[in-house]
Amino acid sequence: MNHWIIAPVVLPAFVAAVMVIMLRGQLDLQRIASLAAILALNAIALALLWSAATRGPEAYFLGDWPAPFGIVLVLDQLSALMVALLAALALICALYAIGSGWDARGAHFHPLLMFLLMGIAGAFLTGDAFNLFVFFEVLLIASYGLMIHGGGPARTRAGIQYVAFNLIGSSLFLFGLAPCSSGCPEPTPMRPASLPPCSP
Amino acid sequence: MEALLASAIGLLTAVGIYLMLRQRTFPVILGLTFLSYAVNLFLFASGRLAVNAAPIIGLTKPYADPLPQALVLTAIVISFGMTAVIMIMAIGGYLSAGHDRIDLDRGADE
Repeated sequence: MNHWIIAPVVLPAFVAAVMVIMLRGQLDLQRIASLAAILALNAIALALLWSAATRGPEAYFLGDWPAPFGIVLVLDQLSALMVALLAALALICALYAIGSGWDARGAHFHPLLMFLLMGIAGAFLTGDAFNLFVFFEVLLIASYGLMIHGGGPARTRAGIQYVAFNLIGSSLFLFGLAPCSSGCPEPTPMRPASLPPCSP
Repeated sequence: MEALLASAIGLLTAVGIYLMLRQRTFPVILGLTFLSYAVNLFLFASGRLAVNAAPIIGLTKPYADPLPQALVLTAIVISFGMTAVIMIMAIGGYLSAGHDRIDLDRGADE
């Protein structure tokens, strides 16, 4: 099993935790750590892209749990390409934020950016629809922080609208997901055929 | 029981949509909460309703589907966290702007 598949999710989460706990308030060190993590993410994404192009799709079972109970990540050509695109865009965005000084206007720009990258990479790599929802909420909650980064009344009130729209969207997504995940009696991606059929 | 659950989901959704269309922040947040309750019930009902059945395969026959229960637990936790976030942001917006209207009224900010 190729353990590098989980790296685009774990690396930003780890770096963000380190930044929040150990580099609190040290903007220069945070910038260096953020850029280093994004460069490493670029290297990992290119390696994953090469792996997906040469060896084909691959599944990664977290904790080796079987498919409907555990979390499954799937690396195929599309998800590898999207993660590579994410890493390239993250590098550009981080360089712009550092160069323009926008990351100095609030306290936690770089940790929030790292959590955002974690959520997006997870959403691209996930293998089932419910974990797509979970990773989507991870990236959304980081984006709420980035949305009101810097503060001010106008930004806060626009942020409330943004959160409200996203909560409505998440509810509609779950309304759509529930009939798909019920999988009785026919198997769905979340309920494979090996499970016994549930009672009517 | 199916009719009761279905009408409860419908009622919660209707209340949620009505409150979401209000102008002030607090009713909108309440509406979002009602909508998330409705979707949690709906997600729970997607595993078929079973009375007196354990959510463990092989213990009772018939059994309750354990997967939607795990999913709905995750959804409850996430919607709880999101409600806390929007509540904090609404209080911050109220304190900084002096009013709690949710629409962007350009004239109200000056």
